[in-house]
Amino acid sequence: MSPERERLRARVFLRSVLPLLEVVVREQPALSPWLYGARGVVQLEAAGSDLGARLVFDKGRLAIEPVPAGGADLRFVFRDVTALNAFFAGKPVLPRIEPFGGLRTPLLLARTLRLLAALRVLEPPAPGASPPDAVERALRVRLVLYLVTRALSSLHRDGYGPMRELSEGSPERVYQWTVGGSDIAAYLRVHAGRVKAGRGVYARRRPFVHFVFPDPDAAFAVLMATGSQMSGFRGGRVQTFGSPEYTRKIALLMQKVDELLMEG
Amino acid sequence: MAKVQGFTWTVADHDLLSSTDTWGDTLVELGRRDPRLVAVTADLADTTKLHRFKKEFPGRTINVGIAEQNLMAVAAGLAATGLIPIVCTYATFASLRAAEFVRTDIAYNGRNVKIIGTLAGVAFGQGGPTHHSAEDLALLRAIAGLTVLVPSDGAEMAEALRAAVAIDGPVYLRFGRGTEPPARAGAPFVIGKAALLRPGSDATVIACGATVHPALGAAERAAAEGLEVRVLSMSSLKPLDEAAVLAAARETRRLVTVEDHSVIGGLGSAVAEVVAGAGIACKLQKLGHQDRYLGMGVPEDLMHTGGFDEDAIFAAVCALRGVTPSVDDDWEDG
Repeated sequence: MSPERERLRARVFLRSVLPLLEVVVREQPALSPWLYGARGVVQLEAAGSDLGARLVFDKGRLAIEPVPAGGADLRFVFRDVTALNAFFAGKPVLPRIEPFGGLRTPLLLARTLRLLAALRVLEPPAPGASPPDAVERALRVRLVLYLVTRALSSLHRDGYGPMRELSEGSPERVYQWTVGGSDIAAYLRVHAGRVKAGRGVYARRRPFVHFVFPDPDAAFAVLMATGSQMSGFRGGRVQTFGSPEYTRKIALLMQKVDELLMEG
Repeated sequence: MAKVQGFTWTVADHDLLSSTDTWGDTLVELGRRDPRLVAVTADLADTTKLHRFKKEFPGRTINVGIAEQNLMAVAAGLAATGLIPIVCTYATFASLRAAEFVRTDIAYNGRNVKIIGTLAGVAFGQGGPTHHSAEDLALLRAIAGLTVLVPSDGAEMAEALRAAVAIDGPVYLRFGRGTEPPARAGAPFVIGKAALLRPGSDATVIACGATVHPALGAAERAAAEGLEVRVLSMSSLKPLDEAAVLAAARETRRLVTVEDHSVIGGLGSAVAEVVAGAGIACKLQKLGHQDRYLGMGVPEDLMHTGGFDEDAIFAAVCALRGVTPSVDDDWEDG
């Protein structure tokens, strides 16, 4: 993989996947004790690059800042961008932990490792494992929709050609995903070379393209590709409203995000 | 660390993209009920949804080849024998190319022919101006005895087709792509009647066809700016619901007409004729093709370029009321 693509991929992980931790923590009460009284800053970074992100623990709350800065209490330093990407892709890559391997801040280290492990909810079920329950299926759907919209915004900020093509000169348009029977929704707002990924339903204008899933299980089946690719349409598990051409463009961009995250 | 599971799928089949594209099925249903129905096309059965009728009734489907004038003449002859021909071709060919035959063979003789012009306006945007239809309403509205219907979405296309078949006489039905988002929300379709889709007293947007959904979107945005905008769906262009137009002119004093058609001779002109004839003083802004060709592109892009999409309607309403709309300038990811 070219260095440029590695950097593109890393930024998608850092801006789109890592921030999902905030959602996972909010949606999984079992993680709350791991945040109790937490305070401190943990930085993930790739050595020799400006790529990284910070987990900011403050008064029992967690915030993700997708840019590195000075003054972290704990640093996870990957040997390079490729290693950082491999870590996020689920490969057995260990970062160097500073200072002193985290021994001076063992509680912060433990909290961080436990929370990062919670992102495993995005992983495919292991072969033969029982399928996730309804709560977890809904969580996965929420995470994937947040992920894909943030990833598309990230790609745009990095000058990724097809996203630039979608946004440059575009009238203000909203690409919306909603899941019936739940509050799960995400959108991508585009206007004249600017892009914003948002959570929920954009209220100021109607969607230009609207993907409507009747319920979380239908969304899970389509988004997690447990059915054939077109069966979602045929089975009524997703309806689209709006421009067919732009529906296709967005669907193909979603596919590009998928390829980017899965490769390597 | 997490490995993200694949979550995408491919959009490959246009037919599956919308649940609103139902008029082809409605034609089959009507054909089952009435054996007098026959479909006539000029080599466009597959791209105009007639293929479903053809599949079930091959003996009642006639392809005259690429010969739209002959298409109308054959349909007129079939109607003279008591059949009900459903003629289907692109709107631009049904009107510009075949206009004289529509007038003389069909309308002048009062033949019971239903002419479906599909991909009207810029619905076949990629085909370019040769396949756009910005003049059909102007041409066909002027033909005596011809009813002209412009449904706004797939469901209404089906209703309009039923209504057209139910009356005895020639009808022109102007269809889009069938993938237009639902706009009428169950409002009943009645020939000669406008549908009030949203009440309001600050201005009225009168729309037809593919512009009804954007008109509703513009009205919603106007409401956020403190403007209550009435929205009328004028699916029946001829006969026109003059009472609804006059009430809107009197009660709101500001009219915006919007159509995927030239502003000369279509909905805007029809509304202007009614208002001027009644001597009502009001402001009227006509949105649509402004006497120019729009080039080639995706329909929604051409509607934006042409100034008859949601943004243009919203801007027109705000301008008529002297309102400067608020701007959402938050571009940070949420």
